[in-house]
Amino acid sequence: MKIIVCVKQVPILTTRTAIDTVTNRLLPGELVYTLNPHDEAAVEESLEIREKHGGTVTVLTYGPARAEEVLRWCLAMGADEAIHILEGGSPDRSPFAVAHVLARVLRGLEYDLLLFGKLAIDDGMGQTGTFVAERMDLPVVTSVVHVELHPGEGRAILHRSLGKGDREVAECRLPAVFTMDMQANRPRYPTLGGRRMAERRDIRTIRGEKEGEALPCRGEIPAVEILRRTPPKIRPKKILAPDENESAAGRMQWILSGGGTRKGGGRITGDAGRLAEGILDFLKEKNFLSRTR
Amino acid sequence: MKTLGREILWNLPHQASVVLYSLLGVLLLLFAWGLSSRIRFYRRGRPEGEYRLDRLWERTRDVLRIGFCQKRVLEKNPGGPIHLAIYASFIALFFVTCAVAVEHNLGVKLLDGDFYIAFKLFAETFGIVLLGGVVAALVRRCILRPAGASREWGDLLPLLLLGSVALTGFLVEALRIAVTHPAAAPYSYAANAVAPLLAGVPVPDLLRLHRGVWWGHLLVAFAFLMSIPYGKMLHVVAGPANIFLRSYRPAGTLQPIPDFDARETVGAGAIEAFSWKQLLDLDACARCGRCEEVCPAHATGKTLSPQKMIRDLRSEAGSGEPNRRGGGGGENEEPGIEGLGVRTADVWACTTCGHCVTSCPMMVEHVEKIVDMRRHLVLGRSDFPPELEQMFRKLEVFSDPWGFGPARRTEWAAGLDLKEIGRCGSVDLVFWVGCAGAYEERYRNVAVSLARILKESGIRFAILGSREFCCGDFARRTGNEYLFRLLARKNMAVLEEYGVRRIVTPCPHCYNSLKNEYPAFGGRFEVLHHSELILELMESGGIRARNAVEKTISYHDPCYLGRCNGVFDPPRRVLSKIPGVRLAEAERSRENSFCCGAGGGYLWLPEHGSRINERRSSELAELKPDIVATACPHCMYMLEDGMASAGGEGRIPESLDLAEVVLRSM
Repeated sequence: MKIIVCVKQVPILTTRTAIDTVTNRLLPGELVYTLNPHDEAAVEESLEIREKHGGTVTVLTYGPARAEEVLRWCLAMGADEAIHILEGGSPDRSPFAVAHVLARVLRGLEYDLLLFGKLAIDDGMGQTGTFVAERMDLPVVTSVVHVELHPGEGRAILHRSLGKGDREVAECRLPAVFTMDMQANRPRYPTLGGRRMAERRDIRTIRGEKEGEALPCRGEIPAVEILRRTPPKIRPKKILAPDENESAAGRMQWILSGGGTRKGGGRITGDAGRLAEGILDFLKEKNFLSRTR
Repeated sequence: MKTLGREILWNLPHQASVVLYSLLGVLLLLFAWGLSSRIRFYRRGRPEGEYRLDRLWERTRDVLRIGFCQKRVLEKNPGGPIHLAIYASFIALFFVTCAVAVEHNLGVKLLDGDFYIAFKLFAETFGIVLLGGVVAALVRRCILRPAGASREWGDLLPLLLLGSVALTGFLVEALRIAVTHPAAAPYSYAANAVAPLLAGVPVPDLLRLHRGVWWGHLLVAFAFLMSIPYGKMLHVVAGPANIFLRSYRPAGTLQPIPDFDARETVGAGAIEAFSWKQLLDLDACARCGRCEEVCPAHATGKTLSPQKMIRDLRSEAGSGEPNRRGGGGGENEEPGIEGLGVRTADVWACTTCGHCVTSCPMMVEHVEKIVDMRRHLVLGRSDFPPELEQMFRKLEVFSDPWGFGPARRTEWAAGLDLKEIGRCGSVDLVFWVGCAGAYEERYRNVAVSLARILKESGIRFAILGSREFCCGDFARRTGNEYLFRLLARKNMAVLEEYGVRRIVTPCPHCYNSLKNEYPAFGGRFEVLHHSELILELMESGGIRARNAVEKTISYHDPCYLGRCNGVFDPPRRVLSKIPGVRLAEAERSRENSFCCGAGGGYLWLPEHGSRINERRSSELAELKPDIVATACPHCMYMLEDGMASAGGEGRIPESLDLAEVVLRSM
């Protein structure tokens, strides 16, 4: 089984790592970068699949020169091969544009399975994997927390995380794209042998300019424009406690179900067509889509 | 004139000497076979990372002092004197036997006249000392049963054999006296006292009995000698060798790994991965239990016992059998390292305080082995507590164990107007703040205090600011040599860039790394602990403790400052120079200080069972001090927590760093 894992190097924004203590501004030069944790889970998943079913694991990233660090980390974890699509000047980093570049490179590669992280912790878009699947005309399953492969039958059983502890079990034919959730596994810590392997391995470099970064398909790539920014709405923090009169099991169930924090809104069920229609209706109803623009 | 000497091999057939020397030949063969198999065992080990044949004079002196003169053995009561009694009489009686053999074989009439009298008194006295020693040792092991003294057959058999040698010796002598009534009988005072009890027995019976007991005496003596290479008595050979080959590195510091960058594996996952010296260590162990007695992990109920670990390693290595504990796959089996017989829980229970190493009379190096096993678990198997993984990842990404990152390294110094290296002129001293000083909320005050003291003294100093990284101590001691080297190289690049010559740091872990471990990376600088620098400044008049601090202060020795680097006096002298301070010395202090429970990366690990810091805190609280002073960030917060939870009733003593106490008086 040939697996390609697409990974991204992300700055860590959860700590105030890069704030100038005098001016209180972000210092881009002092950002600390790491491998996106959901992507790391995808690498781990690919290695576990390889251990079980054999095959090869290739990691692929699209980013600037410093992104090589995360490829080395993946190699140290045990990946067989690494490809670096080197980012040119100031490319469009929107998921759609990235997917365009990735898809062009992927067309030249052999694979049975494509893995992504479900989203990157820096911009949190969570779309790249899906866009790539669409471009490659492959089925996609997102937010995967458990993979059960049946390569002989060309299918896979997947558990998707729906939040609040809910799971959805899906079946999917192969080849396919899965976007992994970091809850799927506990990524391994590289051994010394792995580190040495990573030091020795050559990384194949592809120049992004040649793969349609920034230029082509005008009209096809939707120009994403940020119109305005608003700070998050400040909401009073509500801490709900389970009813003390309830039995222990009852309280446990209440906590596991997400407690009192379950948000409003409904759930759309049905096949893909019904889901898409439901989403469209929702967007129209809430005025997210307007014909005038 | 009637001769005083005695007939050797009296009452024995003339073939006796033939049998005796044939048996001796067999004994020597078995002895040599035993020793050579041990040497083959040591040769299974990897080459040693340290050259151990330098300082020949010092080494010889240590063999004489620590080995022959039993310096460390005697440090403990009553085990020390008991051992001395057995050891000294064994040597004495060995020479007695040799003297008899010399007379018998060389035909020299040695044992005659006054010399024979002296010889008799000498032999008789040491025979009694030996018997007394053996009885005392048996009473200690079997009746008093102190912790650490085992009652296994391997430990009791040598005692029983030696006791039998002494008893049969006296009996043979008494039987001979009862039959021949020799002129020198009174000088064999012990045997002579027993002889009258045999008066009623007919002479032929006495003669038969004498022959029987004589053969018994011979056999137990030979059995004892023959057992030496095969059991714990091997320490009489391996011990002195081990002392001679001891390491002169400070206790608790680790050997550099010379060809690390070319290595694919590191650490000990099999017996062959230990060095030959580490294997010799296993044989040198005499199972005295001192290491176990002082071990903070063992004292607080963890299953780790340094002594047991050494013993398990030895028996596991010798057996060649699949491991009993690790890898067996049974449900109830504890996870362990296959082929080593050591449980992983024990490998992680060590705080690397080094007390086992400094208390071992045979200079066994336990900590190095534990770290080697950790290296195997971390870098070889990637199988270690998840809490450590968080620390490793943060160290690699942020260069500090908490994950605050370099941009926040100078936050603590806001408003202090400190110079940062590279942004100021030349300085005489670099203030190495350490991660705790830079980030840890409580300990930041210590960094501030020390900075104030340094500013007050007028010394020209600078901090490295955001270019200081974790020294790597935690990574190294938890087995992540790779990460340690990554950090050491990063730091060395900065230190070399600015040509740093003198460093002061308040953290003993940074101090130990910079001073003892960075030289392997090209570190050529003087490293001072802040207690040493403050003392220097106080003595030169750079700073003055003007205000009285009317407090009782108990000082806790950090392991990596005291035991590992011998800095015991400077902190105490600093405190005693502060007017008003009354020092209350803890029972366990200086070399015998008890670990706070944070070293060796233990700060990051969950502690099961009773806590080391609470044990230490309650010891210190018994002195009823106003302040518990220490000189290490990790000791400080360990004791602060410990005092709060185990400090006893009443007022909780303040946990302060030395620098904070000094600043109060300025």
